[in-house]
Amino acid sequence: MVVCQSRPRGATLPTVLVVASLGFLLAFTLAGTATSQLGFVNRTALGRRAGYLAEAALRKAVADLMSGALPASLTHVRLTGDPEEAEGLVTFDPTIAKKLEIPVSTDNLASEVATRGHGGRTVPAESMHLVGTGRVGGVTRSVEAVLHRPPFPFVLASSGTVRSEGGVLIGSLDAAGDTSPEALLPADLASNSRLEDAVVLGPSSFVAGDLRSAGGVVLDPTSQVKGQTSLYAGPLELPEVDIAAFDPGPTAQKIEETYLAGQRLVGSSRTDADLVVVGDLLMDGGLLFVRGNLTVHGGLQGTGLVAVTGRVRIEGGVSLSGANQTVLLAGNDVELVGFGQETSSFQGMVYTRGSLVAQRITVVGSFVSNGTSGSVSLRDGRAFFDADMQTLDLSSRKLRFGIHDLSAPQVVFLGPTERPAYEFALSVEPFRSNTFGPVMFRVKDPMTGTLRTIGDARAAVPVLADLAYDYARANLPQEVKLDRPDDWTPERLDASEARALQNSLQDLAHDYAQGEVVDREFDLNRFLSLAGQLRILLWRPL
Amino acid sequence: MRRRSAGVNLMEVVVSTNILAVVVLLTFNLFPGSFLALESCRTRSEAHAAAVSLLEERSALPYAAHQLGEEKVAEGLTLTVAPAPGAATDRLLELQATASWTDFSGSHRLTQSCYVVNLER
Repeated sequence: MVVCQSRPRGATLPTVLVVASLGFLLAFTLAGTATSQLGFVNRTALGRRAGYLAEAALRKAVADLMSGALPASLTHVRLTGDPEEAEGLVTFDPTIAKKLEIPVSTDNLASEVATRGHGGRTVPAESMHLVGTGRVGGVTRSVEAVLHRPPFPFVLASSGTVRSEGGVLIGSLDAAGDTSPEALLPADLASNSRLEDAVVLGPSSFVAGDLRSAGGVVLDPTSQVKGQTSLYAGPLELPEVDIAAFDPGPTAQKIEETYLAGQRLVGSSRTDADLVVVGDLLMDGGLLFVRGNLTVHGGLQGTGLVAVTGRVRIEGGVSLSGANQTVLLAGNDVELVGFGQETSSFQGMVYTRGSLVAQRITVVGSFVSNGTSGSVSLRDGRAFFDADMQTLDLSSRKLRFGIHDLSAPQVVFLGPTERPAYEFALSVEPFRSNTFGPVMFRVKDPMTGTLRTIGDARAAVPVLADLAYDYARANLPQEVKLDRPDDWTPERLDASEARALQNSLQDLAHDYAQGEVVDREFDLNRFLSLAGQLRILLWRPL
Repeated sequence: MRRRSAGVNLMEVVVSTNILAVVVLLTFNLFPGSFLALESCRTRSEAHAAAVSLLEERSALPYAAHQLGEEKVAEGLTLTVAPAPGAATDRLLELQATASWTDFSGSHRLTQSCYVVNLER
């Protein structure tokens, strides 16, 4: 028998093929990993470059804006070290944006109402929405920013020191006007003095907002700063106001007397000598220019602008009222001396090139001391911030409305001596559409900022009543319910009130026709550079 | 009948040897190239991170803290503060971070730049 024994066949070729395949796989995996790693690193680097380009374009647009240039139709930048084709872009022109396939930026700085920007972003009033786009090597990145021009946020700001002897209360009042420290809203305090004791706050002082000092701060242990305290911070830009620019010139009514008593100042008045006012200085939308010193043995009442090249001393004060708003500009020291913080107040804005001293008085508004020897001293006083006090439009009049009893709220038009539980004012500006045309009115909606033009006083009454009702309902404290009855119409205003409102408007038209309404506006922000005004609300990658 | 034994013949040995030779050659060529590429990538990545980190750190400083000129921050890492084209130096500056290094393939240089604007956040 033949046994057929098969010898085991070798596996050389298949083994080699398997080993070769594994070798190839390993080698190409390694090569692939290296390549993809390189690609990832490159793409990350390009992404970063594109992000920097987007930010650079945005910053260039902001720098151009701060230099006083209008937003350019297209801002184009390139950065050192970037490839040739790299670019950063910002545009406010929708046509260019569409052509370049980049998001469009929105300039809403001059508007008093909010609008929509790219991607549905809400752009608040007096704000700008900027979208920067960076492109390099096929990678695109975008960054958006919202810049806002808020009111000057400081209740007290000084180029020199800020001192308080005794307790001082600094904050913003809410709609209810509660002055207790717990109820105060933030308001800031700033000093540009580089001294170690640039800001000294006495016992039991309370600052509801931030405290910023270019030097040091000395706080009594019983004092409290609720916001952020910044020590040795960079100097704050303070407004630069030229007092002499407020001289109304020879066309203004000239005051010949050295003493004034009980006179109501309307239109523009000026004097080239020192002036003493006995009793309250009554301002009725007027402008008073004094080339000398001013002393008032009383308070400042009403609405107006007082520009004094020398010193100002006000010995007295008035009770807090929505009808009082004075812009006081002084070339030298200002002293506000009251009889007690509960009974004496100054409402408005004080700007001085010298020092500011406030004693036994409550000051409401903004107070700026900006001079080589500028300083602020508070003795037994309170300072409350009110951004509305920073702007004054003397071409308009403020009509007061209010509610006497908050438990049974009803909006009424207020007479000059009425002191309600809650009050507010609406701004009305008289004008003529042409030289010989009748006097008409522009009424500003305080909530939307829109202007409504009304032909005569009679027609303006229901419009103002309607606006007053809406404003009160939106701004009253939550616990006060002001429900408008379904059948309520502006015509249902009480007849005597409607008559008083109409008379007030007719008086305003008369004053305007007689040239007694000064065509002048004051806005503290205008005396700051745009860089000093703008604040970044938002800055983030898209 | 006796079957022919299925051992390793000459042809198989020759083919296998050739295949192995090609694989070994290719693999040995790819391995060092890949490792060097990875090493280069790592170094570049580190250089870029150092430049970016420097820019982030310096751009966070107050505007007044920036001084025009070149500063050697570390070995192989310099920062240049230069005027931004078309803008005043009190408004806008360009920060350039440059990282330099040398490896197997020679000397390298990487520059990353950004702008800083004189505006409070």
